[in-house]
Amino acid sequence: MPQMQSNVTWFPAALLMALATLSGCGRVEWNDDLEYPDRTSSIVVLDKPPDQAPPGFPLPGRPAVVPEWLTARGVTLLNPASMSEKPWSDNWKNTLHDELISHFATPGKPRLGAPDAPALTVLANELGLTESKLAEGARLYRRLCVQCHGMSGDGVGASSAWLSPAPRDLRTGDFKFISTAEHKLPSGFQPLKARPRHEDLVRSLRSGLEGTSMPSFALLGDESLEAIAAYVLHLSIRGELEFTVMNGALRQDRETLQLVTKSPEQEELIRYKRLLSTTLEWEDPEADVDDFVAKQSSPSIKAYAEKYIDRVLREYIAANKNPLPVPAYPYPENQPLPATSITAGHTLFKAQCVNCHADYGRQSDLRFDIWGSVVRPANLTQSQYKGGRRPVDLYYRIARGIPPCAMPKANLGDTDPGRAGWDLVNFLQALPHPDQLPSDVREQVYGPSRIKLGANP
Amino acid sequence: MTTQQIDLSEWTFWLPIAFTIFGIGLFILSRFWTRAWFATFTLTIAGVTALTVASPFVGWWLPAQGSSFSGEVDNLFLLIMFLTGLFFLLTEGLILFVLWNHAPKPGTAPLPIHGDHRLELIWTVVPGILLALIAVIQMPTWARMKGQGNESWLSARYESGGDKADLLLTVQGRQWEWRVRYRDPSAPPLARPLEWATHPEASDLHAVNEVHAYPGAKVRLLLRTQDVIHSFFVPELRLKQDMLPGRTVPTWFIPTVPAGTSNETRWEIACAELCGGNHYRMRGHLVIHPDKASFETWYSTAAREQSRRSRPPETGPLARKTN
Ligand code: HEC
Ligand code: HEC
Ligand SMILES: [Cu+2]
Repeated sequence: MPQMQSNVTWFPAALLMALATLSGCGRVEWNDDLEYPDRTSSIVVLDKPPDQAPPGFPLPGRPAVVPEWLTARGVTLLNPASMSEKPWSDNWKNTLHDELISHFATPGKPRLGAPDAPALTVLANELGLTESKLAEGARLYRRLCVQCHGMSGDGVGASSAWLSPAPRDLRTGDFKFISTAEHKLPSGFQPLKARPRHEDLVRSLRSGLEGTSMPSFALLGDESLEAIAAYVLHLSIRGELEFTVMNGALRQDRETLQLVTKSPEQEELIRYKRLLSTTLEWEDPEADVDDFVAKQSSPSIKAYAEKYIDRVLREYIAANKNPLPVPAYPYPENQPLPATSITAGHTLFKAQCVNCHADYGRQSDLRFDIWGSVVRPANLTQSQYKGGRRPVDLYYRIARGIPPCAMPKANLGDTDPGRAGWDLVNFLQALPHPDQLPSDVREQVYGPSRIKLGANP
Repeated sequence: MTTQQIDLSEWTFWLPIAFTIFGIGLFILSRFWTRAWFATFTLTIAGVTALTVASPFVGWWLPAQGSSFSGEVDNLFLLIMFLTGLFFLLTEGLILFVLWNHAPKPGTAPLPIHGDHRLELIWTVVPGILLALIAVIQMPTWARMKGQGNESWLSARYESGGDKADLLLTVQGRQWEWRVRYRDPSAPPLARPLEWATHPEASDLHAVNEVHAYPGAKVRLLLRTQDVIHSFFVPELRLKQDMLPGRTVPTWFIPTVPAGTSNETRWEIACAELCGGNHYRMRGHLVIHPDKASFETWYSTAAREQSRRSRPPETGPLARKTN
């Protein structure tokens, strides 16, 4: 009898083992019938930030955005689930869904621009977002990024709950580490968003973001990185359109869906039109202003979607052609950092940066970024930079700020902003290395008791 | 959302099923054919032996030898391979003998055996002696790899005295990449290199996933990890060293390439300690330049890029279009 029993248990055990081995087998590509999920996560409205600093980074295994905490402190969360109740338009949720499908298709066969909007496809191709590149990018994204950034780029992939800082939600169109020049717009206009240049995305992918869980993908080679960067833009533009339409609808704000929001002075409008026409090669600069306004007002989500994508693509193209000017380095190259420059940088830093980077970042208070997740103003004594350690990267950070983290761009004065900028960069470069700082600065930064002169004095 | 899909055209899908069917089939077959187990074992042993003997001739053998101690390690490997191979054939031969001579005979009860002291003594003592022998034989190699041998450029105690290494670098593992930092080779040598691993200098060169060196360079590696245990493994170097949280683990190698190599050689750095979900993706490259000069060219180019104060040249689709 006991022998019988052992024969019986033998079968299920073998089958279980076979099934366990099987569970690792999967396809490398997206399924053809898979669709991007509609946005379900709330939109965090941080127009008015909460009056209290976040209590800490979220605990491992908890979502990075802490909705209960935010709502308890008066921050509005717009919940897409309540969209269909808003009387903004008939059945508009479905319309948005259809528009997203027609312009961006599916993860298995991504594209940018509906077949009936060839103008968009032309722009997309100019940016390098061709269908073959997007397909390759989607394939690599599925293999390398999806566990953190999620299928639609929502930043809540399977492993995201255990990561701090949280993987980026790519669906708002905001990026931190960018190097574009800024356009000044008259008040009352939807501002041009700070767009990353191709360079910036590829840099982030090539070197990773040091100090976060985002790793380097340098070994993939340039071709693949370019394809992934293209797909990141595809996801980002898709998410941004969805985000913007939902945002407008949930606020019951019809005007959000107009690209020209208010009726400004005729003169300003002409300036704005000029600016858009020249920077984005949008409309004929000489066209009639009333005509221009009429063209920007969208009667339907369908028309709006097309115009919005058109504008965003033009913004990306303009960003690539419009890099932040980098002033020439005013000191001799290949020399030790000049002490006077470091001291000047230190003075600027004390005036503008210490209220966030308290104690040079060693005692920074936590803050919120525009995604409603927690960020910590960097500890600048660590020699660790998410956006790159080249002096030019640091220059970009201070001259552009980090808009999504509310880090403002530095005020470099009018007399010699180039020199002031490099002074700050020189100070930042020397800051983590006490032996590089002039003695009075070192005394102030590290104090007599905290001086540690590198590894081997 | 990202559900696993089962793909019937993948051979890996059928493999466990084939094994299961084979097992069940053998089990049933042995009820009717008393030589079934003997046949299976003979085929398996013959197959394994044939594969092993054929491997060196079809390129399934050890990877290229790429460091000053790789030959020694291989000799030890071959010695152990020979000893274990010998005993494999001996013991398996015995099993076959027993399977043939003592296959179940229907109607007779099995003969119970209660052990044999002499036999057990023999198969305990003989392997014991062999193991002790191996332990003694490998000592010089082990000591050398751990920096206790006659490498005069290594300081026996890493904390003091300083090494005369050509390259000093730290590799910091993290989930899931290798962060590399070189000390400027032209900087004066350090009294306490171990401390440099946690105290970066302004002139250090930072890199990720790529370790560069040149043939004959005395490379001093300081291994660290930011999170869990990883293991730095370059098969060609025959070097595998765990990185432990909170510790700086020193190790070293001197790369060698076949004489006359004029291109750079790339070997994979693989993490050899299961370290999490993407362990398989924790790979880097060890790049051996053909000579010191080309390494120095690479180093100065990378160092210049790291201190770049102007906008990098444009790349990407828009840049290409205007070119
Ligand atoms: C292990 C998780 C992880 C993986 C894998 C990962 N990322 Fe990230 N990624 C992050 C985190 C975390 C951040 C945000 C860091 C921060 O904001 O401080 C980020 C940020 C980004 C950013 C924003 C950079 C900026 O300038 O703001 C982009 C773009 C990005 N990731 C793309 C990718 C792509 C493409 C892949 C796949 C090739 C990928 N990531 C793989 C974790 C990951
Ligand atoms: C309003 C608060 C605020 C002010 C003021 C501020 N910063 Fe920051 N800074 C931040 C935050 C938040 C981060 C972290 C961003 C992140 O990690 O995503 C940061 C990050 C940085 C970084 C690291 C970038 C990287 O690549 O990791 C540098 C460098 C920096 N700040 C320099 C400065 C300098 C110089 C000034 C003064 C001119 C300054 N900051 C003023 C909030 C601020
Ligand atoms: Cu590892």
